[in-house]
Parts: sequence; structure tokens; C-alpha cells
Amino acid sequence: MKCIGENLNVMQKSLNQAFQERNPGPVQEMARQQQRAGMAWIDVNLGPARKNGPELMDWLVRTIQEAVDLPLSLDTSNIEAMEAGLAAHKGRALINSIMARPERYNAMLPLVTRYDADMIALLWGPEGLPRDENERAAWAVELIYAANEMGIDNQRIYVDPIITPLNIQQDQLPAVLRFMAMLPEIAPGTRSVGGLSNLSNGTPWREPLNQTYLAMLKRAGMYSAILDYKDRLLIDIAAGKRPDIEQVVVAVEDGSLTSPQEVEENLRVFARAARVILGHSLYSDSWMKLE
Amino acid sequence: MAFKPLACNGKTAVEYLGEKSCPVGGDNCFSFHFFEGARPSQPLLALEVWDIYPREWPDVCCQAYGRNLSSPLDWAAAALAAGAQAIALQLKSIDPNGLDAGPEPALGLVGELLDKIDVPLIVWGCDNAEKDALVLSTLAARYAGRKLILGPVEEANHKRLAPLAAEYGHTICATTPIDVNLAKQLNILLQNQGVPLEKILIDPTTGGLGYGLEYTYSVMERLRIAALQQNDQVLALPLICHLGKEIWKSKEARQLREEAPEMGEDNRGVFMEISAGVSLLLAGANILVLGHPQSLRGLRDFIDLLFSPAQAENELWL
Repeated sequence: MKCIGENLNVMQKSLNQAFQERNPGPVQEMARQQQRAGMAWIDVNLGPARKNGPELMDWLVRTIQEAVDLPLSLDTSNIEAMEAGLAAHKGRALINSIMARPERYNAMLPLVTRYDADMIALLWGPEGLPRDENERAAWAVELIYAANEMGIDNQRIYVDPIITPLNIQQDQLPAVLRFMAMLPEIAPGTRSVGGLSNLSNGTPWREPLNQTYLAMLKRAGMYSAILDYKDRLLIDIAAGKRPDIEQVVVAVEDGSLTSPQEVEENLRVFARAARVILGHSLYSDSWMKLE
Repeated sequence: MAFKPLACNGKTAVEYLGEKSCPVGGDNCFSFHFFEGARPSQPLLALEVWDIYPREWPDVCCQAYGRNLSSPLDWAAAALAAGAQAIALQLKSIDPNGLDAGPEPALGLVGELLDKIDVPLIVWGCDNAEKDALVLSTLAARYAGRKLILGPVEEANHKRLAPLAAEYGHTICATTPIDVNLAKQLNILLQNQGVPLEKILIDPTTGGLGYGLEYTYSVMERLRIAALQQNDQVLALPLICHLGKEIWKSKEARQLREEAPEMGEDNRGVFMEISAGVSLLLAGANILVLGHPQSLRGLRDFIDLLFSPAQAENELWL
């Protein structure tokens, strides 16, 4: 599974300062760390970037690509900033993202062809978050059809089914897995991606939840994930270096493992996380201690 | 068409409330699914009694008792005569935004009520976490062993209240803001403070009719699914809904015909309370706290009807 590092983010205080001061040091240092950790893309997240968005994105893309030889995932809702980043980018950029809303995709799909980029097809529809796998499928069809009409091939499209926080939308996590099973039939040849960390947002169990769900997404055929490059174990799971953890998760998914007590102590946390992600047990902040 | 039964492997705890040990809970099927399991105890209907003269209460409620409501003891007696199976004393006097009384008047009143009534006594604070902790913990200690039902107990004040309630044998209403995950979390926190599960009632927070009832409904449904189908012990507890205060604070229940003729008769709040109450019972409520005695009678009839299958068949399905 390919990894996209999420950490180069305007929300990070120290980086935000470097962004504002146009100080290349911290930005390039993090980019090099991400490359060393095995990231296939670096996500450059400016958020809405209302002030000087285009100029900042242009500077960031040049600054990062001076330091590392990696493609970037350009992450902003400011379309002018997106375009400035694409114009400055060497190689094939990944547009993160284009929503399944006509007013957004009509404005943004032309950028994909104009700059020969790849795109993330975010399954955020006209009414907001999708409510189940079928709504995801409907919006994927609409968005991919519009992209194909513009001459964009499926292999350039990374479908993002939207991973929502476990403590708010527990039932959406199995729905994403069911959607992943449908995707190859709906849109053969498309790739897929998910913003993993959102899953554990607001919970005190970020790493085990992220790690466990990554193993599930990997099994479900997800092509890539946007994630925390500092989580070594997570990167190892993505690289297939932890078959022991993957086996536990598979066993819970297939129903052959129902009690976390049946596995070795160091693996129990993954069995517990798998049970709660799959909805076998209702989530609460203290659930880890219960089973 | 054949219906597929909803298989349940869990069962909610039976809890015994008040000094007469009135049972609630013990369900091993979804609400009123008598064709799939048993619901050994009927839902309990409680009526509000305020500790001060109910100046903010709509006239249609005040007049329902046909007497002056300035004495909480008389009010409680009238509520029992109207069929209340529990009294839900509302400690309005302690509200820091109102009279801001200390615990003393409540101490006296609760003692008198305990001596006078023989149904479970729910004592409800003013929804100010700090003040409720002070007053309810004083009550818990003073009436050790008298099996009060104390609420609302929230995450914010549970550490002050829960150990005392547990030590002195009271029941706790664990209140969370319409959220299944937080409901589970609070029960775990209460257990950590030494409260046995059978002394916890889940209060999912009730949205009034037209003011979020559907959110409460779906949260209750999910709580029952967790308890009955996932065998989640921490959530396999009776549910209490504080419906009356939500209904009777809404404009739609309070407006008089002369101000808003399009709204119909002045007693429409009763029908709002009954229809919302039916929804909550269907979602699995074990205890409803109501305002108007006529709503209580309507809901009692509904419950009696569903609990007597032969009669229900005659009246509902033919």
C-alpha cells in the first residue's frame, strides 16, 4: 500500500510559522524526513488558504521539490492556490481533492487535464457526507463519469470514500470496507485513497485504531492512504511487514476470533480495535480496557 | 409476508427502585416485541412535582390537578391519585440562575416526601453540574439507604456524586447529551467510581417533539441494539426519559387558542406529550417522567393495551 504523508499541514503551529515567514528550513527538513520514511507523496495541506493562497502554494511546491524528488498531493479548497501549485509542480501532482458536487468538479476537472495531474475523487456529495456504501457508489459513478467525459482515465483517479471518526460515525467504517469491495466493478482501473487519521480523531487510542483500520483497508484493496509518517508501525503494516497483525485483524473480520483473550497479549489491542471498528462492540473512550 | 425475528442474545438488568423495590427492566427483546421475547416489567410512569410554586409552568398543567400547587406534598399526593408510579421531584429552588437556595430546603422536603409516599422518589437537580453535585450529594448522605434516584449525573460531576450514591445505596441517572458513545463512557466511569451497574439508569437526554425527539429515538434504538444484540453489559440497563419538561417548555405546547387559533385546543400539549411518550416507549424507555396527569393516563392506557395481547389484537389489528 502506498503512503502519502499528512504532516506538512498548515494546522501544525511550527510549520505554519515557517509558511508565513517563507522560511524553507523546517519545511524542507520535514519533506526529507517523509522521504526517508518511505512516503510516495507528500501532502501539502493549506486548508482554505484565504490569504495569499496562490503565492504560498507556489512557494511551498518549489521549496519542497528543491529538497526531495517526490510528487506532491496538493491539498487546498482554494482553486486559485491549487492551480498555482500545479503550475509550479515538477512531475505529476495529485490534486487533493475534487468533490462529487457539480459546482466543484466542473470548476476543478479542467485542472486535471490542463496540468496533466492525477486527482482524488472525494465522495463528498451535494448533501455532505455519504450515509452508506450505496451513496458512495452513486456519487463515485457521477464524479468518475464527469471526469471520463473530460478525457481523464480511470487510472488517474484516486477514489476517496471518506473515513469518518469512529466516535461519531462508527457504522461508516464497515460501510467504507463494503464500498471498497464494490469499487472495482463500479469503476475498473481506478485507484483508491483514504485519509486514515480522521478515523481516530478525538479518541485517546489513535495509533492502534489507525493501524488496525489500515490493515482492513489494505485487505479490502485500498491502493494508498494519507497518514502520519511518524507512526513507524503503521508504515510497516502498509509495507506488509507485520503479517502477524494482519492475521489477527483478518480473524476478527472473518469471525474466527471473537475474544481478544484468544491472542497473545501484544496483539490483543488489534483484536479489540478490530471489534470496535467493525461495530461488534459500541465504541467508548474506555472500551480498550473492557474486553 | 413473513418477518424475520430480531435475534437477541442479551438482556437488560432488572433494577429495583425505591424502598418498595419496584422492578424496571429485564427485557430480552426490543420494546413490545412480545412475539420475540419477554418484557417482565411494565414501563414506569412518573409525574413531576416541583419544590417551588410552578410559576413557569403552563396554566393547562397547573389547572389539571384542580388545586393550588404551592405545597409539593399535596401535589405529590395528587400525582399519586392520578396514577403516578413514581414522583420526580424537580429541585427548581437550587438553580443558581434563580432562587439559588442551598441544600437545606431540599433536605427537609425530601425527608417529608419519603415519609409520605411509598413509590420511588426521583430527585432531579437544576442541570447545573456543580450545584447539583453539592445538593444531591448532601441528600445522598442524609438519606442513606432510602434508595433515592438521583439525577442528572453527568461526566462533569460524577466524581463528586457517584461514590456517595454508591456508598449509600441510591440509584443514579447517568445523563449524556444524545450520544451512544458518551452514554457508554459515562457508565464505565461510574463503575470506576464504585457504582454497581444495577444502580445506574441511562438518561439519553430527551429532545422534545419537534425539538430533536428523533435523535433521542435513534440513540435509544442503538443503545438497545448494543444491549440486546451485542450483549453489551455496560449498556444493558433501563432507560429513563425526562419528557415532560421538554414538552411543556415548547411554544407549541404553551400557546393558548386565543393567541394562536390555528394551533387548536389549549390541551394540545397533552397530545404532544402522549405521542412523544409513545415514541419513546417504542424506542425502549423504561421510565417516563411526565408533566400533565392526563398524559399519564393516556400513556397508561397505551401500555396496558400492548401488554394485553388479546385486547390489542381486537382493538388494533382487526
